[in-house]
Amino acid sequence: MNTTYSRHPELRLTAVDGEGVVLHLGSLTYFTVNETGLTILDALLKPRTLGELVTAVTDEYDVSDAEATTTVRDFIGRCVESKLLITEDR
Amino acid sequence: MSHEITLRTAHPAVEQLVSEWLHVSRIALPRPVTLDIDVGPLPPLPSGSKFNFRQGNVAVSSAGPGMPLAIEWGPGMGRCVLDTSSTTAKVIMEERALERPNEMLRLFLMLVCTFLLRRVGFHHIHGAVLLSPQNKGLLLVGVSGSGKSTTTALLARRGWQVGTDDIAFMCAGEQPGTTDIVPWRERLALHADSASAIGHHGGADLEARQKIGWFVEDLGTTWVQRVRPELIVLPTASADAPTSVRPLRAQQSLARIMPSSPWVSLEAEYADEHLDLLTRLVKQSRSFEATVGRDLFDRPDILPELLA
Repeated sequence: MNTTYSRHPELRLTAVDGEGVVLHLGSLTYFTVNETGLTILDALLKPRTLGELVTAVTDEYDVSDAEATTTVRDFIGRCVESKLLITEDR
Repeated sequence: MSHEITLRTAHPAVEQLVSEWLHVSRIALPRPVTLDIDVGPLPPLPSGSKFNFRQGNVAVSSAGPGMPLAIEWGPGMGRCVLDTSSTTAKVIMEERALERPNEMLRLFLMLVCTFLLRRVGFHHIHGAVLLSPQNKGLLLVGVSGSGKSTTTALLARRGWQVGTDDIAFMCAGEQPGTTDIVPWRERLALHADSASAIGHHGGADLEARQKIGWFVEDLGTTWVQRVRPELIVLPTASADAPTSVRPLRAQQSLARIMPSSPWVSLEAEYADEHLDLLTRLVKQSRSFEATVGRDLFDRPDILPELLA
């Protein structure tokens, strides 16, 4: 089984100077995200697996697969907890 | 061509109070909007409405995207149901609501106008708006008590033009890709100690707000109808520390401004435009957080010097 992640329809994202601010309309909350978080959320314009998100990060930054996996897993975990992302098991 | 907010009501007391308030505001809109006010029993809330947000005694609720917004002044004082695409706000108030004109105008109807104006591209931001003698736009954003009004009054006396010290609207800028701020004109409101420290005498007793008010012309400057901010300052008043400023990154600025423009989170149909205006605002401006100290009373020019 492969889990895919996608943006919650009530998520809004804006970028300024390479960093981001995420707004969740449903919960009336907002979050700041760093450059890497912005890269991951940009990739999530369509549903992605963890592996595809790791590739998006390693394509953009000079980091190992292991480092990128840790970063993506942490970020995705926090986003899912904050209901910014939707998960689907295929 | 610009438009004012049109008032439609058959009630003479409402006509008098609200038309004067709207006239003073001098708000100029790109398209006409109408405030239609009746006095009588309140209609039921739209079915399925869920509470979203509260400001004082006024609650905003909606049944979801595309559904009407309900703005309710409680308990049982007034109600407005506003369709997503309608530029007419239908407001019903109980007769007793007229006994509380400040709350009716500055809280309930201001909130109704806030959502009504969203429908013509004007998005509320809680802040003060000024224009320097060198034509640099300044936006001061912060909660009540942060020093916006006092700083505004001090700079007014140094030749800065003033739009507002409290209520403003962002809209698409006259220069492409920018955000302009259009102020809602009303009296600058100062606490008595600030007014005294500045050396202002007279003024209108804003009893309900426990403040003293002056129109900007009373402070020796002129009102400015539209400003394109180049500077954003988030002040915090301090009784002990001297005035100082610290630069903020654009993202930090945006995150700090959002609580002062909270309706960005409501009505998905308008959220993108609202967020876009906020984003353009921080991109076009240099942002600072500022400690506003008592030294500013003696030397108001410290602030513009620090921001230069």
